[in-house]
Amino acid sequence: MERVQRGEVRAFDLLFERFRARLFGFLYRRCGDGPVAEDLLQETWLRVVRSRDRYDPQRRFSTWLFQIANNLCRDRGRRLAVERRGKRELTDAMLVEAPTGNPHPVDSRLDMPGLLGRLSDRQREVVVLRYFHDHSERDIARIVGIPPGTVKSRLHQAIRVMREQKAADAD
Amino acid sequence: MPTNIVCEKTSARLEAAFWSRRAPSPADVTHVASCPSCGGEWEALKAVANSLATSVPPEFAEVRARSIRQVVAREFANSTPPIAVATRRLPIGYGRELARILGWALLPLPIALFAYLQLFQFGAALLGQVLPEWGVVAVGFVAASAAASWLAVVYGSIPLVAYQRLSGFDDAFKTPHEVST
Repeated sequence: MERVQRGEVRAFDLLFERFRARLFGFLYRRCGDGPVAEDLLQETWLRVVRSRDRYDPQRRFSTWLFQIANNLCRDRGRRLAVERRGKRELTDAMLVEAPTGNPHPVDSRLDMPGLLGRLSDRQREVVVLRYFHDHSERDIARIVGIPPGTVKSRLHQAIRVMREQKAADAD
Repeated sequence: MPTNIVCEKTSARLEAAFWSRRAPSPADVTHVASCPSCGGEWEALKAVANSLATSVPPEFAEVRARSIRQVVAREFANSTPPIAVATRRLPIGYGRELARILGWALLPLPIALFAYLQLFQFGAALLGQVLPEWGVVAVGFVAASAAASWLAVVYGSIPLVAYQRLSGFDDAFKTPHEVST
């Protein structure tokens, strides 16, 4: 990455190749959509290039890279949730008089098959990083920006949700 | 140890094994086989693992990867390396090493300057006997310039010496491609 910071295009190519599959897998599991994951992958690398002066060589590059990618997924999740809420409110308003207050909480769950789609965004990000990418709890804490204890409790919650879901599916 | 404590500890280890996608230890396998509660727990975790295993990302088309790489490479080529990078590239502890070498190099400077001045005066007195005054001034000027240049070279190279001491002499003479990331 230091060579990328110095402006070496070849070093960037090596970095891109090294993380291509891992990053794509992460983005796909985070957002549940192949083409969207590809777009986010491009956006992640563009951000890496644009903000390379802010990279601290004493930190692991993968942590920084996944932090950028995860933030993009979060932004997208928030945008989608707001859009969905807007659509629902519009539908409600067309059917009946608009209710007071906010009856629809922000829904960050995905239209994604399988257990990952049943998890909330906060749970999914830690599960994907821990289970599929073997990041340590400390690393996840840095990527997600929460204390390691919170990572542990979110993983625990996620496992409970997934077990309940599996049990419900079996019934 | 009462069974519930054993189960609690086994449960924590089973969960850790689940997250790291490895098999439980032989001791835990034995316990799981004999304890219905832990056995059920492990079965549930295996069911979750099987379900997660179906979350396989689709093939990332080579054409798309190439196009992304081109877009990013274009952005990369168009953006000049920020000024901050030049500072960031200095090895850790560079400032301290520079101050240390500079300190050692400045120690003998007063003695060297004094000795040079003595030599200069002696030389001027000697030359004054054979050369006119303007000749002595000219030779003195040349000698002073030479001394100043010598000092500039010696003290000007100190930042480079400090850099090379910290980053290794080998790296300093490698091409950027040879130096590892």
